[in-house]
Amino acid sequence: MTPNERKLTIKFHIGAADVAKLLAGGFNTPVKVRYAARNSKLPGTLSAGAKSALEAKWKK
Amino acid sequence: MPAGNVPGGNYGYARGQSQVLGFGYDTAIDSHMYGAPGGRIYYVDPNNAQATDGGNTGQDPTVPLATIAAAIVLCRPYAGDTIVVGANDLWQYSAHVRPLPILEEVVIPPTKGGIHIVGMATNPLACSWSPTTIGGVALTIHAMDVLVEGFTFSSALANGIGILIEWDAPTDYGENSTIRNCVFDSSLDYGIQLDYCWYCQIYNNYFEGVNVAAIFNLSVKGDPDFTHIHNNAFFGNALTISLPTTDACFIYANRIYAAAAGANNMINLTGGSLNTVADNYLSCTIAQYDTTCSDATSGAWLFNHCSDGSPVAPPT
Repeated sequence: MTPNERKLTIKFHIGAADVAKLLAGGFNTPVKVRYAARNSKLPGTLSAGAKSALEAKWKK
Repeated sequence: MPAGNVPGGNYGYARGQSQVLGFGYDTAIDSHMYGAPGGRIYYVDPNNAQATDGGNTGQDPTVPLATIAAAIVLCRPYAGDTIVVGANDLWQYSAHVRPLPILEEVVIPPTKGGIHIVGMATNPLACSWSPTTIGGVALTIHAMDVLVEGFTFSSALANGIGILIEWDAPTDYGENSTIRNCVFDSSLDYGIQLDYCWYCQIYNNYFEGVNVAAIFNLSVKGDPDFTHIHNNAFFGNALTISLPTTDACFIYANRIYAAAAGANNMINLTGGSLNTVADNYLSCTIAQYDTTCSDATSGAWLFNHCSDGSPVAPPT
């Protein structure tokens, strides 16, 4: 696990597979993930559970 | 070089040593003895006429280095190396005898983890450090486990920033930093900016009249989670502890005075979670607590104190 993967995993409480999908989509920092969740622009490959958890916390 | 100032045992310059100013209390300088016996001390003193970055070892206080940047180049990571910076009296109102402050914008690179930078004065006001450009940062930390203490961060130019700690792997790893016994004054726009750095310790500092924010979540890369901020004094800063969206921080035993009750101008954790905010003393009233602090969903707000008593409910 890279340092960024570790941080995203801890920060958002999501699994390694979803973290890999976020990183592959260029969402490599919490700020980018939050912004995407807020604006419904999380990658479509993300699992439904991770997507709903992130949007529940950040979507306005 | 003094006999005691050698790798493997620099015991001659522990606290109380007469040749080192202001050593009546525990500082990071002791850690070279207790933590890593091979630690070296590098002396920086621009007020010493003999000071030069050109070729000396930096380990003899009678021939110190002229800049902190030069000392950082010499420091070894995780070896207990400490940079000792001589006092200056820029702040004083009387005649100046050591008038040159530290005028540098220093970056600690990720290869220099575990080093200590200590201002040598009984009061940090006697060791002033200023950036050199408008909007400049006096000290940027990109290494892990750095300790900074004993300085007054000030700015001779507009929009200055005292300390910026950044984590942006794989290039920058500013994390686990300790900032203590420092002053951040009213010439600065920001006292300490934190960006994605986790596990920092910020304690026993004094922030006076910082123009934008005393402690600030820069949030370019991410949040400064797991930060401990305690036993600091804040006087009249525009924003005091401004860490929205940050998680798992402990903010306790701080003393915060603000001239007025502004929106989230004392403790702002809006959008954060899992934080603990306890036993802080605030100059606002209970009725103003909702305005100056935010918010209940960011974690546990426990036994904080206002000017007319302790709020029962967390701020919303």
